[in-house]
Amino acid sequence: MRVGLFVPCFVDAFRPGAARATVALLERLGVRVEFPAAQTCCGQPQFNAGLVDEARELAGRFCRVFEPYDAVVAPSGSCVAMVRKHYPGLVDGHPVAARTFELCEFLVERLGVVEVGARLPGRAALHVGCHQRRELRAAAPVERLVEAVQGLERVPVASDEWCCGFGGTFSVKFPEISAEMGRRKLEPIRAAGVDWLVSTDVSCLLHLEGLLAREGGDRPRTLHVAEVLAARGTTP
Amino acid sequence: MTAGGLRRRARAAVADRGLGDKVHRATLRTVEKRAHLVAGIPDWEDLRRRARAVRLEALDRHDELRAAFRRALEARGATVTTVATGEEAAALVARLAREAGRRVVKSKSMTSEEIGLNTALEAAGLEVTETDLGEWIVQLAGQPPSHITAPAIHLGVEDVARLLRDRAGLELPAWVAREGTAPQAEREALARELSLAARHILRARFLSAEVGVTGANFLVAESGTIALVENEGNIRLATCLPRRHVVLAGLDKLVARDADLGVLLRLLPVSATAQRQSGYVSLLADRHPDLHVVLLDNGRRRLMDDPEQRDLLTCIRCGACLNACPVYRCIGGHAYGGAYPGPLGAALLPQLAGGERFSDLPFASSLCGACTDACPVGIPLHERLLQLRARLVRTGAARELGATLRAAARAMRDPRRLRRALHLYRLGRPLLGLLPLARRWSRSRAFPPAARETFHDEWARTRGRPARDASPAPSRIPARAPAGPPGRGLPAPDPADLFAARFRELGPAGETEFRRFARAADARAFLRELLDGVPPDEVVRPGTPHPRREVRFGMTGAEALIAETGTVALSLANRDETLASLLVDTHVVLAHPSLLLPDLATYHARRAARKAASGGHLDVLLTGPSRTADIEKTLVIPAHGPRRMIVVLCDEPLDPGTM
Repeated sequence: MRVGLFVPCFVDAFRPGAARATVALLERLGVRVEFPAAQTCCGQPQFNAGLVDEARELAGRFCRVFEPYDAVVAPSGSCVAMVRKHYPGLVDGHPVAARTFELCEFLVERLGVVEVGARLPGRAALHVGCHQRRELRAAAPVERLVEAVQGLERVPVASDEWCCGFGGTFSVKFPEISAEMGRRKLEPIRAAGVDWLVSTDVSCLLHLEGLLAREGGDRPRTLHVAEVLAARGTTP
Repeated sequence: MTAGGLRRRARAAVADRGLGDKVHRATLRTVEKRAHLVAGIPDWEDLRRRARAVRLEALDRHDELRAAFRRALEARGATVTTVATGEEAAALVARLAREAGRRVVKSKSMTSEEIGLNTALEAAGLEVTETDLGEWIVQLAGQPPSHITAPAIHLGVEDVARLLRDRAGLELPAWVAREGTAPQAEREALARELSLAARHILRARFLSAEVGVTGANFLVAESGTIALVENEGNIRLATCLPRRHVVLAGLDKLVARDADLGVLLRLLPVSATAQRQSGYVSLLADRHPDLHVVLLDNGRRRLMDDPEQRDLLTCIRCGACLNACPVYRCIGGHAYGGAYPGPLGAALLPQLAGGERFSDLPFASSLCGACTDACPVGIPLHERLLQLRARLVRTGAARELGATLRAAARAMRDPRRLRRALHLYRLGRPLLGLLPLARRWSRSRAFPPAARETFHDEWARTRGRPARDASPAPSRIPARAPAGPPGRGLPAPDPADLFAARFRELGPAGETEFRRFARAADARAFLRELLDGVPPDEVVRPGTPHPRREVRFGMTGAEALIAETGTVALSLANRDETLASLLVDTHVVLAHPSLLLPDLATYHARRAARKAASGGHLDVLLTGPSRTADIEKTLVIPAHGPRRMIVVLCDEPLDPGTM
């Protein structure tokens, strides 16, 4: 199986560690990963802002770049939802859309792996991004993988299923609402006194991290789920 | 963006943290209760699918259904008028009201909010009283409602106490007067006191009004039935006591068949208020001497022909998408600036007549999809918002960020350009705060530091060649075994037992009483004791006219008892007959076990079959005594109707006329 790695622009620029961890994890599980250097962005920012033509162009580009692969894996539920759920309406019937997977669903549903040999000490709240949860309906694989990490206690909190408030361009079109949603999301997480806030999406994490930084304090620290699953007992 | 009002209003709403606290508490409580209830309804998803199908069918057949509805109503002597705009509708309702008198009692109607009806009625010299408790509270406050089913969700019990002090001469508790706080039990006691005071004040208005103006939850074409759903009893009073009844409803309220109610009236209460069934469902198909129906278009007919967006008209106004929406929870309903807040409003308001000023609403969503999951009729609300965004961009009505995003899209054509942009970000990050757009991020959030090296660059540097395949094989787990067949069904419970259990749940402090007797003599003895010492003019029985003041006991029979929900169904010839179960302190129902039905679906199917033969009557479904939870979701019994309900089930026939 030829597996192409898609590294969303957010991850590439701000959290390359999540992409590195994705590669390390997949290779540890015997999956050979290729990274086509011509890739850029899935087009979701344009699509969600109503710029359909621009989004279609980027979708076409994505499909051409990833055409040669049997499966495309990305460490982002949101970008994968864009590809799998919205590409069919943009680039009619291109086969790449259906074979694009978020990392955790790829591990659990395609490879059948739940125990990946990860070790990470501490207590963690888990934020499965909304598109992964409600568009891909793939929250369960993430939960199973995280709950199988040795040494890590997953702490359920009341706001687990709430949106973080990022929402792409929403975060700058309506910054006051976006930030307030994030603060409300974080309240129960902070109250739970967890060490880690883990998410499937770097975009959600950048927003929440930005809010946490303004509030001060050193906990929780944010981690991408790939970083958690690649951890070998030491702090990633 | 042409309409920039939402951001300004939202900023103010977010700054008022107490508002968000109140809205969070109330909505999350309903969300949790609803989820619990839904988990116990095995055919929930099937119901949702069927509801969507019957609602879409009604849109497909709209013109035909509207004509049939009109014929059915006119055959019973009512008038039906379709009006194009809100102004016309308001003018017509005002004229109909003025013809009949000066005092109007209204039940809660989002359609009337949509057209600003109260302002028009008052301008016509009419005295208008909203009678739903939450709606009356916001009327006193001079505000519009902020939630479809919980109009005063943004007000605390102390706000309500102050409003009632000013308008109704009530004394404030000390903790409210000194702007302090009180423990939950004290807040609930105050909510109860205020609700009961409202009942007292509004009772006089009901008894003196000449006109009742209501909305409608559904209009059934085949039988001309007007379906109205509530908990308090104010709709029943507003439709029974005044001489004239005016119904204002959107064209979208039509459904084809009575049987469709068996689906829709099961979904609605669960989704709206997390109840198996609302307290009162009135199915009006009687020969009313003075009934007028005003059907409002206001952009609906055009939307019905829009293949992409038409399913917004299948909405049943339950408010579940508001409760589920994290944006709504943070900003409340008023910030949306129109009659319909939340995701539904954000999608619908721009498409009704005059919707141009709402063109910023479709962008006020993180597209998290919680609304789509919550919608009981399966409207993919967040997808509708997405499609609307594309339209608004295409027509030039939404321009904000367009240039930036187009530039970004151009950069994304080439990975080198993307990398140059990232390099610029790295260098420019300390100065970013100078850009107005960037400040929108950084006023509340730190800018993320850019990585020293992007993944792209790192991969190019470390792995010019494809990676070696040298890792150990993945550990595989077996696929989870499919769940075994469900256990053998337990023997079906006696429907009388289920009815009794569900009926008792409806009166948590003993407001409902269920008695079962084998022999009529024992039932008679029970009733003799119950009515011992009660003056004869304090008991209303079938066949005796109701004195139009509250009496202590109303005795009735029943058309059916519905086990699933603990509901008593009555079938009545006219609206006066409903008073024996409404304008009384205690409603006593005498019923035979043969009247028991397993569930609402069966009831509605039977009603649909019966309709063709009879016609000219009304059905009322009573699920417990009258209740309200409009102040901080505190349950208060009674609201406008009975305080207590007693069901006497007797294996030998009993005649309520002689009991």
